[in-house]
Amino acid sequence: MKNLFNALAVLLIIAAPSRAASLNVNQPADDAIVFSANVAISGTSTAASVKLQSAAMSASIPVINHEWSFSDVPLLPGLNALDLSDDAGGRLTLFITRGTGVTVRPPQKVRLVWEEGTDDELREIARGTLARQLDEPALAEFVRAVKALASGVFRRAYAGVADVRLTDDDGDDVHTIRFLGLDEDAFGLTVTDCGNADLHGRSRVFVGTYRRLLVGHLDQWAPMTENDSPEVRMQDIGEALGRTAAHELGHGLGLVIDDPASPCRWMNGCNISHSCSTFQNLHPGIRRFAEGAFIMDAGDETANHERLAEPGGEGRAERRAPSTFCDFDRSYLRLIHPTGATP
Amino acid sequence: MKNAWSAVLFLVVAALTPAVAWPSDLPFGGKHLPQLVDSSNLVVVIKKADQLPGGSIEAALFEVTVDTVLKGRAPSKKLTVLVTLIERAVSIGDFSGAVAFLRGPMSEPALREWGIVASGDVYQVAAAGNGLIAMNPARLDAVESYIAAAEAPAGTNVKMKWAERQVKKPDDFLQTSAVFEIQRQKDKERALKALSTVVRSDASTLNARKLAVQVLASSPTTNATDVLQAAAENRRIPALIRRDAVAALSDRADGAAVLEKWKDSKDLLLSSEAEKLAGKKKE
Repeated sequence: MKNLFNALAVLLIIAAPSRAASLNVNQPADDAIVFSANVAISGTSTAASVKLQSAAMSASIPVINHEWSFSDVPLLPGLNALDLSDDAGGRLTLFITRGTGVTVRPPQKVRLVWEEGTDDELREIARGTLARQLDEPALAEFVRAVKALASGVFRRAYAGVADVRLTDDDGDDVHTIRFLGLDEDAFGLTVTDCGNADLHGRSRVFVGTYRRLLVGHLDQWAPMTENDSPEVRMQDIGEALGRTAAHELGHGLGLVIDDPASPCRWMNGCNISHSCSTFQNLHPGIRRFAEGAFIMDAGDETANHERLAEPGGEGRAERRAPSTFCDFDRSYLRLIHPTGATP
Repeated sequence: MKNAWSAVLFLVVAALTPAVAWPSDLPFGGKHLPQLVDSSNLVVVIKKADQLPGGSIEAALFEVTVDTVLKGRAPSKKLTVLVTLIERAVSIGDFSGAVAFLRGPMSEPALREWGIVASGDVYQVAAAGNGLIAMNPARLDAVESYIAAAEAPAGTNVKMKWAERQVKKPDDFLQTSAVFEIQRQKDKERALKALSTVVRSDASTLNARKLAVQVLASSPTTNATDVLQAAAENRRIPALIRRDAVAALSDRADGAAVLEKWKDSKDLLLSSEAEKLAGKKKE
C-alpha cells in the first residue's frame, strides 16, 4: 500500500501545473478554509480569458482591464483543487477547503500554570547546559526569565491570528496549560477538540523531558553550546517551552484532526493530529508542513533547532526565526476565534 | 511481509479506542530506534500480555510476560506496564512478540498524573505508547546490535556502521531509524556520504529519502549543498525528492546562487521550483 501511495504521489507531482506570472489570484488566499458552499474568486491576468476547472464546475470568463472574477464557485465539502488557466499559458491550482461542523467560538482565555517541580527542572537545565555555573540568585533569575519568555513566545504565536487571551484565573471558558516537572518522553499532550467545542480544555507541557534530552546531549541541539551566555539559554528554553505551549493549545482548539470519524476530518491532518508531509505530497502546491517551521508540525519530524527558533544548526542566527502557523491553520484559527471580536 | 507487519503494528482494538485523538509532541525521531533505545532503561521481547484493572481514562495497565531482556534488568518475568492512551490505543495483540521500550519504574507523581494507583513497580511504554514495535528477525537484529553499539568505546563509529547496514534493509522503519542515527553522527563527512547514498538509492524508501534531504538541509557542512544540488539535478530521483532538495537549498545560505542558476534551466522542475523559491525567505 505504501509503495502504491508513493507512486501516486510521484505521479501527481510530475503532473503538477506550473505557476506563471501572467495569472494571479487575489481572493481568496491559497489554502484557506471557508464555511460557505460557494465562493467568489478574483484575480488578475495579462491574457484575454481565464478558465476554471474543478470537480464541481468548469467555466471560462473574459479578462477585463487585466482583472477577472468568478462570483459563485461551488465547493464540495473538504479540499477543493481549483485549476485556473489563461490563454497566455498561465496555470495555477488554488486550494480551498470547505469546512463543516465548526462555528465561531468566543475568545479563548488561557491560563499558564507552572506546577511544582518545574523550577528545579529549569535550574537543572541551566546547570547542565552552561559551562558558566550560576549562583543561586542567578538561577532564580534564570527560572523567572524563562517563564516570562515562554509566556511571551506563546502570546506571539497567536497574536493577530486568533483571539487568545492570557488570564490568571480558571473558569469555564479558560484552557489551562500546565507545565510539569515530569519527564514523559514527550514534550506535550492535549486532547484534540474539533471546533474547540469545550473552551475549558487542558494541556500538559513536560519540562522534565526537555531537561533529560538537553543535559548531556547539547550536540543534538545545535546551535546551542555550553559556552552560550545565560541570557541566550533563557531565550532558548523560553522559545522551546512557549512553542510547545502554543502547539498544545493548537490541538485544544482543534488542529489538525486526522480522524475519519470526526466532523473535522476535512482538516486532513496526519501522524495523529499533526501536519506532516504525507498530505502535501499528494497535493503539490500546498504547504502545511515544514520540518518544524510550522507550529503544528509533528514533533518527531521537528528538527530540534526549530524548537529554539533558530533557523538552522550552523551557528546562531542574527535574529531568531520563530515557527508560525501555516496558512491553513491560520485560516482555521481566524475563523473560530476571530481577532477583533467583542471582548 | 512488510504490509503484514505494518498491519499488526497499527492494529487498534475498538474496545480501547478513545473517541478523541490524543496527540503528543514527541522529540525528533521519537518513534524510531535511536531515540527509543536512548529513552528506555528496559527493553524486552514480550511473550504475552493481559490487561489489568486499575487503568484510567488516560492510561491502560497490562501485565506482560517477558520472553527476552535486550537492555536493562527486568525485576521479574512479569511486569506491570502502563500505556498512555496518547498516540494510539494499544491492544493485547500489539504486545505479542513485540519489542517493548520501557521506562521505569514510574515515580509516584507520574502515576498520579495519569490517575493510576498501583502497589508495585510500573513501567511505562516509551514515546507515548509508540515504543511497542512489531518484530521480525531483521528488526530484532537491529535492536540488539544498536543496544550493543551503545556500549562501544567512543570514536569507534559502531553506530555509524550500524546505520550504514540498516539503510540497506527493505524496511522503512529500519531505514528511517538509520537516517535518524546518521543525523546524530559527529563525523559529518561520513554522514554526508551515507545521506547522499540514501537519497540516490532506488532501494531507499520515500520516507528515508525525504528524511535524508531534511537532515542534509540542516547539515553545517558546506558539502551538503553539493549533495542537495546533485540530488535535485538527478532525473532518476523521484520528483518529490528533487523538489524537496530544491526547497532545502533555498533555506541554505549558500543555496541562493544555485537557485539563481536554475531559473534558466531546461529542466522544467528546476526552473519552476527555482523561480518560485529564489529569494524567498524561510517562513
